[in-house]
Amino acid sequence: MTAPPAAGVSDSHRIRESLTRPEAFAELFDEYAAMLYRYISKRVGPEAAEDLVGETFLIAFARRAQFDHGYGDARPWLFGIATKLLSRHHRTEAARYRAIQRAPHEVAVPSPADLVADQVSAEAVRPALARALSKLPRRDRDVLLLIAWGDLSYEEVARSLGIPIGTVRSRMHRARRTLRSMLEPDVRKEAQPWTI
Amino acid sequence: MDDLKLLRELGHTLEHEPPASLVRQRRRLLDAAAGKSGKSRGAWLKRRAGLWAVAAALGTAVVTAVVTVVPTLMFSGGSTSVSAPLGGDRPEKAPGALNVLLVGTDPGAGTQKPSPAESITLVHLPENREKPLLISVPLDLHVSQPECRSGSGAVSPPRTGMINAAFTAGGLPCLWRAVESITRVRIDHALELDYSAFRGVVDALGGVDITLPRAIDAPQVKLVLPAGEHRMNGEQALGYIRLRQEGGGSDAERVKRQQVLIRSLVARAKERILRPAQLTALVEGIREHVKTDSFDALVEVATSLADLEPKNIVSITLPWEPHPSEPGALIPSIKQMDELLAPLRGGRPASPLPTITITRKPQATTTITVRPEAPR
Repeated sequence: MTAPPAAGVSDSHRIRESLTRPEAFAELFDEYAAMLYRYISKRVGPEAAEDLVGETFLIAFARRAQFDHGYGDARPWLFGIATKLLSRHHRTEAARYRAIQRAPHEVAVPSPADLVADQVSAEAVRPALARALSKLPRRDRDVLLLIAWGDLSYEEVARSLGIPIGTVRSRMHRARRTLRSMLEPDVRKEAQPWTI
Repeated sequence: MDDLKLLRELGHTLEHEPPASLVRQRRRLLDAAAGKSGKSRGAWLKRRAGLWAVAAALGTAVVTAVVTVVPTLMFSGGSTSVSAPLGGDRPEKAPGALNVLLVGTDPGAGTQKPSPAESITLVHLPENREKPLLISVPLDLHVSQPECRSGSGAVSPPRTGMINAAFTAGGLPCLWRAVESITRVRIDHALELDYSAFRGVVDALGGVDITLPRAIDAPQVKLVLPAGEHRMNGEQALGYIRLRQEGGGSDAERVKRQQVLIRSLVARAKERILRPAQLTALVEGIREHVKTDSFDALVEVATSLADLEPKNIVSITLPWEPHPSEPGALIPSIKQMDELLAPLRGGRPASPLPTITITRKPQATTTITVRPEAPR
């Protein structure tokens, strides 16, 4: 599911160049700011997202000398920094999931391309999903959302968070078990008519 | 349904598109890179080139406009259902230049009627037509809007609020008037187009040829295709330019895809131009999705833009600063805007600055964005 990094100049090359020519780091911003904004906005909403994207890049810039050049792709590194910063906003994030549980439809930002049927089934389970997300321990939620919303692979999540891949697997397993346990009654009751 | 798939869909509905104001964070990074502390705004104009890069990366507005405008206007003719704003004191015209307001909408995107603008762009063609200037107007700009008569004849009273509210309340004529009043630049013509116009163009041309470097599996935009050569229909092509996850998920990638698509589309349009039956079908297919006061003037915009190398098109965002009391809202940055727009204005330069009324408690009742949590 994870798309490979864009062809052309590798991130590793850009970061190395920025050591002598700091403004080259802006290329990394142009490439990934939009992607990070989308991910962060999903978790804490648009107000906090803008500043968090900026902080992520400022921290990345300050630590650019420590980038592991064994990997060409900077996305896991940036997501890792963003994840740490997001942990300071856990109250905002929790409030967001609570809001979905209270008023599942008002919070919806309609997405242009969703099929009608998808919308219906997804809407029916919104509160259950939000409930599962608020119940999950932060470390499990980080892994789950980096994969589902950040489109990272298991290996990339491991690199991102600096944990062994086995730990990513076990956290993901736990998180999905919680997710399914919250979904089950809903799926049986609500989503059945649209499932073929 | 799969639990992860459901979670991804929830993610899609919670996601927000990067706002134009994200450029401020890039500036923060550049300031840090230059060893500066704090925020400096003075060098705004000098950083125009950098801003252009961000506009290209974040604002698909321009590309979308060109995608639709170019093939549409290669065949002039169509309905002229919009009239220029009447009455009031309009800014004076700068001789020789042509200023056109482009508004993009995506009626399929939401339930709000009329659908809000997805992009507002002021296109300035100088007298020699050599270096067009594309000025993106941030959608969350908080401005005072003059009284205005909409297309249907209803009069909206003067008020203060998001610029997009001028559009949702009074359509193109009211937005036209609002943008003139903020920028004090005379706008000669306006064009409103929706994404469906693009679909109509592609279908009328019998599809567009695209080579996919790898398979696409994106049922959320109705696009599931193997790698290789394809002739996409309108629906597929629309999905292809809307697609976000492909190619690392960056908007820069989306812009690249759009550019490839434009080239292919323009090539196809040139092939097809000689067949009268298809031409008629094309004009008919587009007509309902495009509103303008003058197709002739827009042919000129389209050809001017299409003939130029992208590097000769300067694209910037209207200078803005954070609203002093309204979190998330922006207000025009008068001094920088005056510096930037002075060459575009006609007549005597001595007229007073426009009044931007800032109320502590804005009266606007139209809610544009739904904010799930209380502002910080």
